[in-house]
Amino acid sequence: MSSLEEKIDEAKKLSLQITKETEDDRLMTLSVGPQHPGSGHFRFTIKVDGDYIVFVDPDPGYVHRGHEKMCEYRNHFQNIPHLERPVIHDSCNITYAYSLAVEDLVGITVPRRGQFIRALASELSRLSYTLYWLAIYGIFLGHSTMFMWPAGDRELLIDLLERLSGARVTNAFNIPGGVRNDIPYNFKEKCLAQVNYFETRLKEYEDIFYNNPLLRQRTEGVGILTKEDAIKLGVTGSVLRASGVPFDVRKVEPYDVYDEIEFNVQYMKTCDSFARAYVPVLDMRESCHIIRQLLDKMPDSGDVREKLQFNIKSSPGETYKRVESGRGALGYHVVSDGTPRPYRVKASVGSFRNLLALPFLLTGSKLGDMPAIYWSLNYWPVEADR
Amino acid sequence: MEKTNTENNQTNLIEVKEEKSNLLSSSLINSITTNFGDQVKLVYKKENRSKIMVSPENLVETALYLRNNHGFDHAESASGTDYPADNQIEINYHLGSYSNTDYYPYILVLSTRVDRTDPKSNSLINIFPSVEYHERETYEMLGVFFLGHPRNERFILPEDWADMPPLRKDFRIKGR
Amino acid sequence: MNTATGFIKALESGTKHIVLKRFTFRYPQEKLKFVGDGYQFDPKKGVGIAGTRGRHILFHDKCTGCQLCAIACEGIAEAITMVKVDEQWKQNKKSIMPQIDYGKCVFCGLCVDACPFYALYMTNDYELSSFTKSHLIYTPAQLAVKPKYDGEVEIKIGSRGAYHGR
Repeated sequence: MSSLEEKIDEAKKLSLQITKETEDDRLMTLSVGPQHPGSGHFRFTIKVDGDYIVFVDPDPGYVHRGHEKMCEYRNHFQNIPHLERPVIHDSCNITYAYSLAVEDLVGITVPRRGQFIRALASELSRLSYTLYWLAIYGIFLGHSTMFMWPAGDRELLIDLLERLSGARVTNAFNIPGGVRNDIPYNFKEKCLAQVNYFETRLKEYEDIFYNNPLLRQRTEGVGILTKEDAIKLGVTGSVLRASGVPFDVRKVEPYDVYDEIEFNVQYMKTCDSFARAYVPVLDMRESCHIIRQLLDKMPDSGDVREKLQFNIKSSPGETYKRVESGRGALGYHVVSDGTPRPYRVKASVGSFRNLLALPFLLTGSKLGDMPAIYWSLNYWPVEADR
Repeated sequence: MEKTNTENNQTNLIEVKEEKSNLLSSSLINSITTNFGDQVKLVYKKENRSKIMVSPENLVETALYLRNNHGFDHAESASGTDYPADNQIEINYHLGSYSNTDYYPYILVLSTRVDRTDPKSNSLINIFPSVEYHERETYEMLGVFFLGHPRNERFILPEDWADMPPLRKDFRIKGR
Repeated sequence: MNTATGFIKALESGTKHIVLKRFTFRYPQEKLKFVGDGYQFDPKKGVGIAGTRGRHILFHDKCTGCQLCAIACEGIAEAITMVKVDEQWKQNKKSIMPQIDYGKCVFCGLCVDACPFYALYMTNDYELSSFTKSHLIYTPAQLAVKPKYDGEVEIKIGSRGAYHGR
């Protein structure tokens, strides 16, 4: 009997030794991603102390395809189909900036009707992207209706883009020199009807999602990114506007026809995850206004495309052109040495810039707030990796 | 030594453009040239865009001046371009401003050229915290070592990347 | 807004959908109606004609074997190869015509933009799945066939929401 008691005592001592907490034992390292459990094709390592995140190390690159290098081997037209691959939902915007840069290097201006049509395509594309993002934001906050509705309503805009450009997502529609084709017969009426209907749906999104007390409790006051921090970290797009900086490239540096369009830059001052999720919806409203104005002001006839040679040689030099994409300012720095191929292409994309805010916001927050913060950053891993 | 190289070779690749400049560009460039004189070389001046070239040792000083006096508070991107013919790598910082509303549409390209065989440049991370990941990317893509950057290490490329930095011009894509 | 009204409003906007029309459509039985006969290109004006970018159609009587489509595809998908055909055409001395590998094609349509002889267009046919990879390679003879496509439904907006209807 005594031997058994001794054994129990020994076991107790041993277990005490094992469970004795040290600083390192308190911390637990978790790997989030990259198998898409709510992170996209992207991994970040986090260390948690109990319920609180104390360390975040993002590790992008799982979908890196080196398209900046690929650009150096192709001419300006051949670059278009692979440049839009990073964000196929927003393909008209991502090729818009490159087209503007090449047009600046070649030294041409796009016919006026072409400018309207590509602005229209990029607005439709932006709406389609934002809906896709909203669907993912909804499902990862546990609201599966908010996944179904935007994914379904996205069809309204995909359908319009398909009529316009011939492809559902990989449009390859904006090219250097204008757009590929004119708008089809009966497009204006269709577009107006579907965009107007879509705008009424935004009201329902607010009822079921944004004014839902459950969502408000999960997101309000979570992940505060103050104005000073936002400026310091150089974030862009809806993340920046949710922090109270009214910066929108369409407004501050109007390209093409945006200086004739009346719209407001929507921003909020609450700086939290809810604001970052709500600003894109306000943006979608503005996009609907913009589309109506574009359809209204579009000239009835005229060229849509400045015909360029397939192997057009641009003058040596460099340029930096940017547009407002669904994820913020999207700039292309194109260096040309006078050959048909660009010497160097650098894409400054919104996702990559917003990534810097991720460790900043997650550190110190609760693990349960991670999806609410991560998806509010409007981060698209494929675009960030390029 | 590096500076003279810069001046000689620059005309080959980048055309110095003097377009119809707007007020913003002129006042900014004037302010920079009065402060720095010959240390800063203007490459081009367009509407809402201008590019200045500084030598690597003046990079931090110029960036600090731009941040404190003109409100350039973030970098949209930091990237590099390889020029094997000059044996140089050009580092470009596209600086923008969110705090000064006059400079909202403005992008100032602050660039410097470093030696290609042993590229080293001062990091701007203490002046613009937003360049952290951009500089890390430039390090792995072009092999430029940023002095003062806490993490000059792999970021986007695979963990087992053992080849040369891929955005160097002598790295060829297979089959092309 | 207080919590109770928030929940009630959310429930209300959800339950409203019981009476709304179904937005989706039954795919293999019903198909989407597209504009036109597919993407085409007018080389004289240098502008395309809007249409769906499905599989290509090749007009043998117009193709000159100039390889411009293959050159355009070179840096994009490398899906087009020029192959020898057993046909004699006056305009096609070399008797070569494009053969397209749909396992590689990205349907960007830049080959259609490149063709100066109105020989290569795209059609509405997008149902190209097959059991083997080799069946995805379409020879010039297969490309000459005009596909049958009869899509009927399109998006309609009615008083009970948007739906796909005839």
